[in-house]
Amino acid sequence: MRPADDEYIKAIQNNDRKGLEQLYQEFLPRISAFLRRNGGSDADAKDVFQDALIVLFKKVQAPEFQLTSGFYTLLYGICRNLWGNRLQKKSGNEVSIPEDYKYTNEPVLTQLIEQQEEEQVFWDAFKQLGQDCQQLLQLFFAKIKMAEIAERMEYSSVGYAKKRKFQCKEQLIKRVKADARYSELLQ
Amino acid sequence: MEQKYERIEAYLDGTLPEAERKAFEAEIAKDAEIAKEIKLHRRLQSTLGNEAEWQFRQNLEAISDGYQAPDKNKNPGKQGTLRLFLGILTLSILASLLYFFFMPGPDTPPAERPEIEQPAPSPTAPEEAPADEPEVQETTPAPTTPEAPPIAAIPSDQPNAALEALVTASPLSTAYELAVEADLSDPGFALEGEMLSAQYKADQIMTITLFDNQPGSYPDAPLHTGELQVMEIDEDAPLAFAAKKAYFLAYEAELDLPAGLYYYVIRTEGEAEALWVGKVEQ
Repeated sequence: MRPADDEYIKAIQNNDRKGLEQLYQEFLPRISAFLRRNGGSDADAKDVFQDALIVLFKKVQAPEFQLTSGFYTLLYGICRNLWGNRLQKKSGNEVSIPEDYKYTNEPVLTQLIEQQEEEQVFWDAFKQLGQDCQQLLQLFFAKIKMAEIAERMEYSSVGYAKKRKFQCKEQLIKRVKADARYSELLQ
Repeated sequence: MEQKYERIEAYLDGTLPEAERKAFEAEIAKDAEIAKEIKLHRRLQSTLGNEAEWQFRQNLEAISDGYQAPDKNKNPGKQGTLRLFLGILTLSILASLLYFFFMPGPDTPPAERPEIEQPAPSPTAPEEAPADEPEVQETTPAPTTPEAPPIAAIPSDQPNAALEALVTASPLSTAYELAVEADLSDPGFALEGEMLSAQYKADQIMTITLFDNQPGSYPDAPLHTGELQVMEIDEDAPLAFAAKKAYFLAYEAELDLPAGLYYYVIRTEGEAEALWVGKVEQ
């Protein structure tokens, strides 16, 4: 592993802001260039790049993780797969998207990419919720007790906190189910 | 509905009393819809309940929001000179065109000349500029002397604007898609990466050429040229996407290079077109 590659991995492992900023500066322009040549925009590149970093974040947590290629090679492979999958979904069956967008042979990585795509449906639905619901559900999913949630959210009672939690979760589930990706990914 | 959610959550938390749990499990076994609903609640909990991922995502979103694409004109001096040079060249061409348009032919009587005065030679004309002045001043264009100004050397760690643009745009070919990295540590230059291509043939030679950062080094003054090792990756892998094959690329050379910024260019042998331009610093 090259010294710089090691730094990039550490930045992801430790959620290090400066290191991650450097990663964006170093690699996002190349990923943008790749996407622009393949029907994407700079905004798409930002999305794909962020998703790829999340995939890597999960991958580097594994105790057996070892970088077997160059860092950029790995990052590029993930971005390529993510974008290939998106193009394929966008096109439906009308446009033939070359299957060769997917070339990562490592099954763990392929699995993490699929997982990321599934989970993104949840995150996207979550981000559509109001601030109050987002805050409340963040506490709820972090397994904070309802009494403490009521206190932190300054609700009048635990009963109201429970009711509100239900309403927010229901909205979340509704949005997830309304997402076209849900039926494909989570069945 | 609220009770249904609470029941599912209690079941997933393992807080449902034994008898209720058994009854619920029997229900789940019979009802695919409930099973699906439970799966969704479980996935929501495991995804949105991941504290570390929350923080990581928040960090990325903040960085992404504030992200500015690196300025390709990072080196304003060099870029400024380039732009100035192009400006002068354009002016020179325009001036030459004007000159030939209005300049009378040898048989044109002097009276038909338009009232354009030829400027008197200026003492600050470029040819008289001090030799140590690297940049041509915009105020002293030389419309009748369109030769390029001498290209000044730049410090060895400064980016080369033309090559930087190629680095950012790499991979440069869709037929040979490369993702490559290199470093300049002991024992010299090392490179590895991957290539996807449907066109690559087993006997095809891929070359790597190394350049320093100086203006004018690329493409005519390479420091080093070599042949890449190309190996097909896992031929037995279940590649349903078989149109393109994946290859591993590697190269190593013992080079004794002084500290500085270097660029490497990958091509197929005999072709001028670059497939990938990368940079490496020591």
